[in-house]
Amino acid sequence: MDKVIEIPAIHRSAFEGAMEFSGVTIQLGASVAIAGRNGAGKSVLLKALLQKMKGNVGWVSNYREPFLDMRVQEVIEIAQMNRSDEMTENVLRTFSLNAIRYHGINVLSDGEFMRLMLARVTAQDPKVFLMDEPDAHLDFYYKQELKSIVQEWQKRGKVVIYSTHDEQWVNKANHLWWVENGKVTFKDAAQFEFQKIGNR
Amino acid sequence: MQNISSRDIFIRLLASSLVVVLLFVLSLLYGSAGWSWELENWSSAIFWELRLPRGLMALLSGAGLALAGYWLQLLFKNPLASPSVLGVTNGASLGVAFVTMAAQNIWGYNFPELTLLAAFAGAMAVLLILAVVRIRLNNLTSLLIFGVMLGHLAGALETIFQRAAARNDLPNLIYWSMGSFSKVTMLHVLWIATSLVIVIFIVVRNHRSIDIFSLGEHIAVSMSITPSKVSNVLIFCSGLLTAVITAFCGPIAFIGLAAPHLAKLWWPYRTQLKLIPAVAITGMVIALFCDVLARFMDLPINAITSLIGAPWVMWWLYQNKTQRHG
Repeated sequence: MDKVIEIPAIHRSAFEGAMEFSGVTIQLGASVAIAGRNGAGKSVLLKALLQKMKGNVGWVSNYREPFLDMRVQEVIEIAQMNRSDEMTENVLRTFSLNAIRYHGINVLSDGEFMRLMLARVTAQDPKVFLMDEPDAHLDFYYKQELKSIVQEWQKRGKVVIYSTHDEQWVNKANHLWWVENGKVTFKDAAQFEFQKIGNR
Repeated sequence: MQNISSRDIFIRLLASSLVVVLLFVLSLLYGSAGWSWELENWSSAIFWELRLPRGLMALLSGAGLALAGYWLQLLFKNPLASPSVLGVTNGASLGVAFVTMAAQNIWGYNFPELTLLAAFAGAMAVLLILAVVRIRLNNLTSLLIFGVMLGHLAGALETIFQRAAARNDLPNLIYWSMGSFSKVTMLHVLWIATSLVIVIFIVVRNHRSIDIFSLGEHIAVSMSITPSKVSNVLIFCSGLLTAVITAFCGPIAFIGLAAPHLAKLWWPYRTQLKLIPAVAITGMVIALFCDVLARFMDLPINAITSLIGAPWVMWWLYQNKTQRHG
């Protein structure tokens, strides 16, 4: 089995939303933090990667479709290729969604919705996770929980790519992709400090 | 939404099905000839040629319009979407108006069967235009507005044709636009039944894709589902049902808009396979109930559906305080 995964290159003109990414090979089980100022192109990069890597990719973002009233449990059930009640119960427990399993998506709070999206990809069990600020809206407890869940995924050989504004999340990643004006540069994640970037 | 035991679900399904059967029988027994309980009436022409087609038509059209409305609401993520938003019903009206005008000014003679064909052609033409435009418009909101504009355009042409139509023929046009389940034969019923079977077959085959698509474009792509393919399936299915039903029964208002919302009131599930039966049953109940009432009070079906349905939905919205985001 391959021990690495190929992340495709992206070259986009300014017309489509400028993005310059050379592509890279990544070890299975590695994590990547995508960081940059507001509007630098973090989400554009993640969406472009999604289009190129489509297939079994786990997608997490805090975007909620309007008027969607599917129930929490149903969302988790349809995420699974081979539906298993055991898996459904497991992720409902892990993300403390049991009490709201029969609620519609439209009545969830932002934090509850984020937990549901994380539970959904966990049930989907993809090789690669693409997450747009996965810790957004989570309270202090679930932020901590998410860290151990991501570590768990990495131990099982998943590649986890996420955008973040949190220095801790950057430092604990194996790689840092710094995005500036639609250009991606590779930096050392462990030593990174937002302070040193300054306002530019 | 609370959990509902499977026993409770079964009872709800059974009760709603019973209501459908009851209303259907009622619609067979009652007609302009009054109540008919006697057995000899069951073999009469009134029963086989008038009441049975009419009852079946109400049954199938109700289900079809409700499903079309449901899929359009799901596609456009808009609770106000209904079969009339894509301009399909306007296309049908335009066809009928054209035939009525031409009957006077070109042929000098009115063919009743042509009305039906024209309505169908008009609806299908709009559907075809949408399908072609769909290739370029990858934005659903743009498509929705395009459909509404197409409807306005057809409406304007319709008015011009109406103006040119003969006075004698105008009532035909107006009666058609009031909607009716009564001017149908068993052949028309067969048409709608076939369309329903085709559409349900397609949706059942794609049910998982549609469910995932409803969660959003990015989630769909992440699970190897092509969003444009799913939206084409939904447009085709709801468009075909609307076209066929509008051609035979006229532009029936309200059922397509309200039935999906009402179905969600008494039915807890939201995935395709589990929600479709409830939506269809709700559409059948509304259509049959309104049709029986329309006959009883001798009023056009469109007046009944909106007169009774709209205040009911308004009252429900007013009552329901627990809704938050949607």
